[in-house]
Amino acid sequence: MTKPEPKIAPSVQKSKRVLILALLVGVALGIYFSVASFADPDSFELFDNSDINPVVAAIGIAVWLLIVPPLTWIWWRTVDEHEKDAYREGAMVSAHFYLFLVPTWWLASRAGWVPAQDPMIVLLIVSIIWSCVWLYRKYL
Amino acid sequence: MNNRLKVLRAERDWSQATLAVHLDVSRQAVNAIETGKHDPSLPLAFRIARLFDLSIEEIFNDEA
Repeated sequence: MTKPEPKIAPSVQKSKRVLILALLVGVALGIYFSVASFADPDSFELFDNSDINPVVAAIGIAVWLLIVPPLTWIWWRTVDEHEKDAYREGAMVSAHFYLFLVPTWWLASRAGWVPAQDPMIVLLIVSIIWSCVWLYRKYL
Repeated sequence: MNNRLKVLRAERDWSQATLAVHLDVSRQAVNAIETGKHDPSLPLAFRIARLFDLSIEEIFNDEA
């Protein structure tokens, strides 16, 4: 009996598994922050800039710096060249968006037209643009 | 870049997913190459050529 052919390539299977793991880490981090915020009403929400408990901050930083980078690197090593190109294009577009957004917001804020710049909002916008271009180039 | 990948795949009655497994890439990558949205790297072009037992020039054509 011949071995059934896999439905997707082994490297694609691996990259999907790593991506799902990274998403689970992100969801776990989000839930952790939400629960920590709920437990301490004087603490913070996900994109709030108020003071936070140093232990909560240390755990968040540790996850972000020790778990996410290796996962990103492993994922990058497993994806095929088409997805790498799509990801690179997303990075290029979002980097240029960042280049134009930050000074514009900064100047507009100094002129009193808009509220002060929030790095987490900038990060969110840049990440959304990166992801949209990446997925568009991959699937469309 | 023009290519005969879709024809060669059809001759073997392979789906894009089957070809993707043979080349160890995603189905989206095969689709992007077939539709000319993605030009494969030299290593991938060689893998494609070896798979169909043809030269790269017999599959890919850079003339408009």
